[in-house]
Amino acid sequence: MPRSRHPDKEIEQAVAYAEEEGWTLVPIKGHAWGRLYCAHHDRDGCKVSVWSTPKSTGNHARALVRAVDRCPHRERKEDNDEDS
Amino acid sequence: MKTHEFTIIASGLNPEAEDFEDRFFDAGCDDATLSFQKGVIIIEFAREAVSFSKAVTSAYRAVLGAGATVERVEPDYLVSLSEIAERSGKTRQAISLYTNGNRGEGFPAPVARVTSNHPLWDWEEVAGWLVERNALPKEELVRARVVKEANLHLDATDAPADNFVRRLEAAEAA
Repeated sequence: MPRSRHPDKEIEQAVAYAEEEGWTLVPIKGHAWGRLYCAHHDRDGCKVSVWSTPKSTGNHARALVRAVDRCPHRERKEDNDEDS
Repeated sequence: MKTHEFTIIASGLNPEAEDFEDRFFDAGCDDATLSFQKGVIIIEFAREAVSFSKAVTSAYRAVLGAGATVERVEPDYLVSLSEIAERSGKTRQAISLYTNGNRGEGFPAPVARVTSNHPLWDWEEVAGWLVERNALPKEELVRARVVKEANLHLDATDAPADNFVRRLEAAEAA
């Protein structure tokens, strides 16, 4: 069954991006619309909460994307943090 | 009012609890995004306030109000060579010329992990050096001071919460 869409376009795009990266949405009740879990949620995986009505939908959408991008379990395209 | 972006690292609440998000929302964190990664709660704020220290101290109080323990404020003041490059908008090559002393007279010495291959610098010192050379806006130095003060406070486990606000405001005014 397809999940329901987030009413805000930018947040919906961020959720769709997370899903493309292998994350799964679990809808919940309350102020949060759902919880996104990364592909490793069975072990010490990542989780990010999606608000229904954040103060700024744009800021929230960008923060969701950043959380997905810093997931240590995603396949690294390039790990370039070595100082020399 | 300006929007200030920073992150609070917290612990002490179960991120799987049913009321996890509601606690933060009700405590006034609707301008933050909550995640749980690497075993810690990460609270990314985009907070409107008259000053950076006011934004950080009100966020600190809100996180405590949600029932969590504040561990750290980021972006941290301890920075690697890559992070110096990123924060100053320069290349790693340019920064390593400074750190090797080839092009940067008086560039601050590293303060941590000095004997390792990946030393860390104090961003307040580095930012101060860059600001003097007009290579970084003054505002970044103020932010650096406030974040460093916040983390020095949080490192001292017996430091009372009231001092937190005073210390950060003093750091900003310095």
